[in-house]
Amino acid sequence: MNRIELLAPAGNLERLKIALLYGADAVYFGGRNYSLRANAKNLDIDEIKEACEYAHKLGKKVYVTVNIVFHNEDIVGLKEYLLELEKCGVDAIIVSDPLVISIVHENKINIPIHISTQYSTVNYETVKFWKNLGVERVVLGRELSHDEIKEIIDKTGMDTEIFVHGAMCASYSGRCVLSNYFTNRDANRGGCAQICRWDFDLIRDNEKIDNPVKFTMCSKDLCMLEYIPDIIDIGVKSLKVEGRMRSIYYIAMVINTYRRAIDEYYNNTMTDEKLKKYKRELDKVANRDSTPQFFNKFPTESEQYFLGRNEVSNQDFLGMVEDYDGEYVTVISKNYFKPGDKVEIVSPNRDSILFTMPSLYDSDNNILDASRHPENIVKFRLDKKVEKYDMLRLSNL
Amino acid sequence: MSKLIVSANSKNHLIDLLKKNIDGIILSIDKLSVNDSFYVDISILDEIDFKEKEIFVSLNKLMHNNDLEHLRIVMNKLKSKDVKILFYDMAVFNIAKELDMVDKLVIYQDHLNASILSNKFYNDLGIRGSYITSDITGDELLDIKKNSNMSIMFMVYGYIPIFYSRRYLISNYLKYIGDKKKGNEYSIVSDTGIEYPIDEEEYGTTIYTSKEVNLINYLDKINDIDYIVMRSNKINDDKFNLMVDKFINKDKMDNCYLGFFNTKTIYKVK
Repeated sequence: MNRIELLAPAGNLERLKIALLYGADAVYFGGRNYSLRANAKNLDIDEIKEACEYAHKLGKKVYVTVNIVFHNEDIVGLKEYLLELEKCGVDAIIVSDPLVISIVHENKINIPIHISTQYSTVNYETVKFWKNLGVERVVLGRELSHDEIKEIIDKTGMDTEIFVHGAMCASYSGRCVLSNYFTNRDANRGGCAQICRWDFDLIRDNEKIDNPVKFTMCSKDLCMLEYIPDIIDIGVKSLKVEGRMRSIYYIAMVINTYRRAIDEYYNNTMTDEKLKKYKRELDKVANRDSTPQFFNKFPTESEQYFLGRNEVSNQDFLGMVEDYDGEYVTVISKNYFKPGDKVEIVSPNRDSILFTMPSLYDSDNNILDASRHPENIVKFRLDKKVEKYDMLRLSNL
Repeated sequence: MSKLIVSANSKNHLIDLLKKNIDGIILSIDKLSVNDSFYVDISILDEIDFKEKEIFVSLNKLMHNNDLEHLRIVMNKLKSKDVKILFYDMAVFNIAKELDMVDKLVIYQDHLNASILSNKFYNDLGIRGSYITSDITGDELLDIKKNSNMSIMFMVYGYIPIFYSRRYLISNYLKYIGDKKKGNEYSIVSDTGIEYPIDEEEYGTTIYTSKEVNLINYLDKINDIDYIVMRSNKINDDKFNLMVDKFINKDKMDNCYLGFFNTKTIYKVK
């Protein structure tokens, strides 16, 4: 049986490796041009080649976003870029502007095409249109319910991908240019300034509505963890996690959680208690509330943010394991921690290890009262085996 | 020379506009179109004397599965009519292909379809017209025209929709603060003090530009564009009628808002 694909964001090579290690079946990212996260680092051609080689060795896939809405000036170099991507061996490109399809076909470039959610494909006739053009997969619009997705799949037999986790556009994707008109930054060419998260006064018939709570378009994040069985049952082919600009810690924890939840479904071992545990895992790394949005009901005010949007960065992530010599763990620190802290080590391959942080040492074996600076090398003794890329975090248990 | 196409705010307004020296009219079809002030049933095509003006029927909604049956019925009826069809969603194309009426189609994707090659893609499918997004510059528009076999339409006057959501954003907010949707006109204002009209309809919420775009001083520059479009939504009938006369006469005006006609957007800020 072909199992559903778990597709992770990867803003750079490090995140890509973490995503694959923590259980993603495939990753997606942008190149230096033509991608909707124009202000992310993104990957150059050499890095894309390395990404493909790394992923393919693991039997996993790489998708590259080429999903801007092109203006005339952007087309220069596109054909050559697509040919480079073909040489790198990318498994598909994700496009929203159909001119990319023309260039691929006219030049016989051998890369499968996925239609981006940016095109907001929300019905089965449009899916049939893409299928007739030889498109291999459609990333459906995020405004669809369970029944709509099922009907699309039933009537088209098309490979479909849906977003299951992460931030949402308040608008239909591709139909918002607030950023262009408020800040001159082009939303459909990767410059989105997230105006939908601003606060506004609402004016009714020339009179300001006087209320301390301001009007906003801002939606809560998406989380479909509890609907994984339904999504698999209706025949969706790929579950996509949003967040090309998110941290390695966020990607590791979210992907690890979805990986385990998907496997539990296939192994018929999911229980209510486990589901609650996985939900708590996701809540730990989230900095915003989340809901299933359109999947289970039409969104109301409960699916929007009006208050409490303090998006504080997560301080729980203490560091990443660099090495274990059988006695000492070497860690690259990320946040402050000290001996005596309750710590958890999360691994993609094992259950978590809980312990109290013992004495800390620097790389020259000098004792430390605390790990105070990010990206420092810190060591401590541990009698349980850990591996490179395991993550340390403060334990709430 | 460009043909002048307009939209109307009501049936009476439509009848008034048809008396003017315009070349055509846009009719937004109820349940299948968005971002307008006046929606009609296609029976209007048999009820009104359109005085041989060109008729553009708008089916510009993003279609969901439950729209498709009605869409097919409407398109079947439009097949025998002398109209062109403005559309956003490729479901319309698929049905038009099945009904052998692709030659009536005009691709009208507000913020997509911004280049010569994108238009070529649609033209290669047999689509003969393209209503170009307002998010590009005048020079980009002219480049598209110069390099396309399609009839090109471009909005020269009116409020541009700049955000469209499936959600009921006004109602949601008002419910959250214990209020209800009432009154006629809504707008939003940020710290910048600039006000943007916002509408909530059956199919979601639309935000428009703060001012109406007005390219009256550039009509000679875009003289090769096949159709120039004036949209009446959010503009009262008297003001709109006056502006239609000014556009017919190619008057000159001061302090016109040009949108992106002379301004390029940026997207890399680092």
